[in-house]
Amino acid sequence: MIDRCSSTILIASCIALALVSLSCDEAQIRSSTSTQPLVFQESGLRFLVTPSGLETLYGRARPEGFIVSAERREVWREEGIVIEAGPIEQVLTPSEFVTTPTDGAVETTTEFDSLELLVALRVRRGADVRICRKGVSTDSASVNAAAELVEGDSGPTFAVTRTPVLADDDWAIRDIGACSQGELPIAFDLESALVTYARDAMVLSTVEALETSPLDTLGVVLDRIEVRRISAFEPNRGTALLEGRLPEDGAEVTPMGLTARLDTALDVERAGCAPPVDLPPSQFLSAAPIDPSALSGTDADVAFAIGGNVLNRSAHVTALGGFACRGFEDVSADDGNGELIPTDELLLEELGLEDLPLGERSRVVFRPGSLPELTLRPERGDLLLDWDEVTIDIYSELFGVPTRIATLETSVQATLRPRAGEPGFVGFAVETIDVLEVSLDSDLAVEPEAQVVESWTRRTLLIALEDLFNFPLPVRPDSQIEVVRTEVRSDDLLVIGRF
Amino acid sequence: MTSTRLIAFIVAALGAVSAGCPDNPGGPCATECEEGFVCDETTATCVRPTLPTWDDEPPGRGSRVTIAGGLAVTASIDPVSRSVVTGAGLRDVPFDFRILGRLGRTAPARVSIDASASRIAIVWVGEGGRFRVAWRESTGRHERWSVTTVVPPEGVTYAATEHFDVGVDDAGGVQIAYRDRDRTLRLVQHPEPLGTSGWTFALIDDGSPTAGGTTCPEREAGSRQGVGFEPDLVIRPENATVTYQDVDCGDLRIASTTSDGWRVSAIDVGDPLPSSSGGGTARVGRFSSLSFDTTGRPHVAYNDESFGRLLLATTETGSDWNVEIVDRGVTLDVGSRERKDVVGAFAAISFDERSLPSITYLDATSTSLRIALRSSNDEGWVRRALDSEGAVGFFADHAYDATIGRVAVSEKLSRDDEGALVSQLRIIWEEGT
Repeated sequence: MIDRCSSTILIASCIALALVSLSCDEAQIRSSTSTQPLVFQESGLRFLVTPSGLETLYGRARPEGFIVSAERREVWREEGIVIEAGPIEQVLTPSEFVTTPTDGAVETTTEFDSLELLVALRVRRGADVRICRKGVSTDSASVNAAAELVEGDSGPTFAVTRTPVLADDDWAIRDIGACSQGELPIAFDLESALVTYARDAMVLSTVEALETSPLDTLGVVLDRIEVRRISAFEPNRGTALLEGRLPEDGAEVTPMGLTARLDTALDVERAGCAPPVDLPPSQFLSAAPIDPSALSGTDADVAFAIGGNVLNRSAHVTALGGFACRGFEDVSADDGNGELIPTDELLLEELGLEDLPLGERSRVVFRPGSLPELTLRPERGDLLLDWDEVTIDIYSELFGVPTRIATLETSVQATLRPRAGEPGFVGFAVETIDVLEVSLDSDLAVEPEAQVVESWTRRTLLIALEDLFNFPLPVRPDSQIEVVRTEVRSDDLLVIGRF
Repeated sequence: MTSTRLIAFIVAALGAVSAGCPDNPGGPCATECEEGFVCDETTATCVRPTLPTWDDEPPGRGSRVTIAGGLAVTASIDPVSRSVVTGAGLRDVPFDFRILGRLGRTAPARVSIDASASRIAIVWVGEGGRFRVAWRESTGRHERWSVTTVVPPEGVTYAATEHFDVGVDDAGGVQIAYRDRDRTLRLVQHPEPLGTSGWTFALIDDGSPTAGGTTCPEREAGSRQGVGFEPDLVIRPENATVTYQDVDCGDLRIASTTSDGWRVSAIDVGDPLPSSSGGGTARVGRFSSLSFDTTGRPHVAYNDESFGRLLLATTETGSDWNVEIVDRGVTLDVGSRERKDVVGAFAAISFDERSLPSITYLDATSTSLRIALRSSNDEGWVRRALDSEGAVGFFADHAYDATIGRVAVSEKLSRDDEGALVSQLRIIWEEGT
């Protein structure tokens, strides 16, 4: 079970929230038990994690630091004496951690200054057991390792396939506190035993540290999930079904970093408020590979290519799942109701409604009558949104009751420009709005001229659509990726971010 | 204000305030007539003054209706002239509309009406935030009404708001439950015979935790709008009962008279809200309408503000309330999409002779007057539009009588030829069962 907006939010879940800005309170994300067959779109999403991004990912996989962990080990058994070293359970802070991706593997160097491991020494003579603590230290140590990408239980995993190499200075031993270990056998080389134990611990711990699932760390969960629209009103409740699938050889390491391509599937259980149409067949147009040169000069950690058809299908799912039925979650006029806007801002006098005894606050309710269509326009660097049969209800307080005073139906053509600088999502600024075939239905409005209605509708749509279009980044929310650049390409939207 | 309306109003005002017969000192009117009466010089008897007629389209603001003396009697306000207008008629008998008086300069455009077997009364807010009460015998002539002002006894002050409701007891005494400007719910009453003086005031609910032990954490946290929104007062021989909203907590409350005074309790504190609506509990209790069935069980129809729906609360025991959803407000629009409608405002409940309830209310999305009727085989509610011609349904109210059927009123807003906003009274009749 995945809690809504938990730290394990998955890539596909974000798609459901695409295009319409929803808060965590408005959607519930959880594992799906649905066995409904889904149609996958090949390579609908692509990732590139840069070498510096890989370093950060490793850091995030071990946020507490470099954990040195080794079990107790017998280092001597003769003359009725048993000597054991360990265990060790200690966190170290490397002075430097460097990853160098190569073809098929990530080479790492982990360096430590003034390293001291605290090792228990246990000496047993019959029933007599004495335990001392020793400090095993060196002025510097460096562990070189290489981790290859292999298939693990939870997707591609880095695994160390060759024993890491430890380069170190001389080690020294000291007692920690008072120690009465007794006389040790003459043949037992205490220093050698403890240093060997410490060096082995460093090597084994390096292996442990490097064996991570980078996509998991990134927030990618390869599973089927559902995103339910939370709403006070049943007509708004729909469900998006989403699944991400990593194809064979879908992830690889190259000198440019870690790349992955994900097949994606989206389906929907229609909400009552949605237009009564079926989800169109899925298109098959992949996101293009990410050329690392696109990241040059950005100091980027990660890049995502979101296929244009994934965006478009996300938009369809958004509309059909009720996620686009907006503006009416709380009918009351509480001060904290964020759906309310000042009536003055609506300029209702243009429709001849200024003489109504309206309250100070109004709302704009958005209801889609068809599915939106998105077109990538790389030459302009924006997306074209075509949305027919959009319904906008204007509610204002009349005699203390939120009352629908006008309804507009129109077809909308808007340009959406992706913008950078947002944490965790790509925001789309609505740059232009054109309205076609506007119809105004109101028993209270003085019939205004068509041109006035068009102008008024355009402006009201800008209010209704402001900040409506967001695309959460396909990573876990706590990754705090800042979008530093976006690029509309012919096949996809490229999003470049920094951890 | 048209000149016709202005002249009619002045005539009415003069008639209402005149008393005694200075030109006929030796006749039966030698002594001053009681307050609210004038001397009829023809018969030399004290009579209620004759009200001027309202000749235009009747206005609909604040519309209310009751049945008295076999006639439907309406009360409403013209928002332009601020005249208080009452009409009486039947389905086949044209309504006779009269001007009762005028609202105070800053008074809210609200009016209340109630009738018992003996008396009918209409209340509005006049100058200085004081109630004006118009009354006549239930079977009396509709063109003749007495009008008085509720003047508090010395040492008592009050300030009426838009939240008030009048009740008339069988003897003809009048009670008004009202939310004072001090944000408390109070009662002012006068036994028969009515007059300017002699009104007594009592506190029903000041919103404090001691008011029946009910609590409102929001109020304790500092929000102070108080209690007493949209009260509905019902007077029965055994007691008086009023339902109203606790504004701070968005709860529906009920208060009844007992031998120890008023007993206050909460009927509904609202369902939990989903996180998408901000969490907490729903705001309920607006536009409450109280009625008792033939067995004496109370039923309260009211609006759930947060969910925009119509609810009905009923109790067998007087304390454990069962709340049911009468109308969720979900309809299918022309595009075959389910649409959430805002319903339940201006709820008004009545019972027929089979003790089946019917509730009229506003659908604020389709701006229509709707009615929900409990089916006779107890299979839930039948809901339909009662009036959907233009923007109607504001200030919906209805009354039922087995003989004359159901009469529903509401305000219709429309535009005249010049585009000016017009308030009209819509009267819809339905046969009795």
